[in-house]
Amino acid sequence: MTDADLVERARRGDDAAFGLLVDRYAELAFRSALLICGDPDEARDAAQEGFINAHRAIGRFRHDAELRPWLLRIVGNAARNRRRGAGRRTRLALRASPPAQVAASAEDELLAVERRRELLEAIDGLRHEDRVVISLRWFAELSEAEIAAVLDCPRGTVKSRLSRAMQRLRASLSEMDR
Amino acid sequence: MTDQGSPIVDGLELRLADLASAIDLPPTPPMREAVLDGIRRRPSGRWRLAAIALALVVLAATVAALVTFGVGGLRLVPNVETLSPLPSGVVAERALGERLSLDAARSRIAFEPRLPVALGTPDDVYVIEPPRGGALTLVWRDAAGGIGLLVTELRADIGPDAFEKLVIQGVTVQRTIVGDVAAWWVGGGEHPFFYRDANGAIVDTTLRLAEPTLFWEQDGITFRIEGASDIDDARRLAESIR
Repeated sequence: MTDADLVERARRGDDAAFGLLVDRYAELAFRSALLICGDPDEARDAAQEGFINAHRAIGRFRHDAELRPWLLRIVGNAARNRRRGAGRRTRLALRASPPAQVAASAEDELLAVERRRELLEAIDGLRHEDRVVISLRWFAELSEAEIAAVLDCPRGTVKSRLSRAMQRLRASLSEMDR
Repeated sequence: MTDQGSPIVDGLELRLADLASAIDLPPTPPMREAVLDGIRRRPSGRWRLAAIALALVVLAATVAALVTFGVGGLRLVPNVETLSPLPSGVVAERALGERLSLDAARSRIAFEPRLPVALGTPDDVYVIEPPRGGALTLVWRDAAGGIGLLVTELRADIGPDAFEKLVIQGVTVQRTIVGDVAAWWVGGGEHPFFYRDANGAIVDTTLRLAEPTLFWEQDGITFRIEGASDIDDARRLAESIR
């Protein structure tokens, strides 16, 4: 069933249909919230709260609109509210067994791991605003329009924030390389 | 090294894409049940069973009286939580629908409207949809201009989740008769009726007059009279409906 079908059913009170929408968008909601909150438990709570709020508002969702950005805005609001109260941020980590490079020597693999660690450290050292846009763009793979939705700001703002964040990240990396 | 990467390929962008493939994001936890609990405002987890057990004990007597509550379009909800304070997003005031002339209303609803001839022409007529086929509300105002009496009509053959849910916790139910059909006189203070409108918002149709309501079904229509002074008055009005 398409999103539109499920939305229509949910609007008529079919909770099971809304449950299917939750399943469909759970990962998107959780990851977006996680990259904003920094804590998996807060992110889960924010995503759930987002879905509940979305359900309340589902009648206002226009038939011809897209569900993803609409949902992202609602989840983003919940995540940003939690962020203010959050404690220590959980840092992102590398996978224990990362994807192997094609035809890479052991030395090249080690180098690749080291470069990833370095980049992750640099991202971690960014100010919150910069880190969030870069993470949403690259780790949650959101489009600029979707980032704008989840951060509830104009698309132009996202563009300039990304651009500045990338500049600062480059600067930080070249510092590290010295 | 320029300050800005090329528009197509940028060393940093490549590195970020590579890093993304190696990032260990925590697994997405299950959320559906917690979300559905939140939507239905059920107590979640282990308290749910206890709450349901308690509710069943409390409602046993009421349920026995209501087991043959055969009014179409109405679903009985044992709600262990009170509906107030109303959360944000809930329409708090009574949403009667669109105000129309009786003739216009007649063309909007999927049944033939009936009128209590004992009362004469209603002061206001409203139609709202959902429920499927429309709900017709006839209003007679009191001396102060507020709502004195309401008669609501809707098709009795719509699904139970399409229209009203009567919260039966704390209500008193008296079984009676209108003409030759069974009717129910429901009282006990505020007993909320609500449904989800086309926007998915909860519409609280509780009249908040804290007055009892007479329900019955006749000729494929579910009727509701609110605001009658007592059961005899309500029955008299009900029996004058043509």
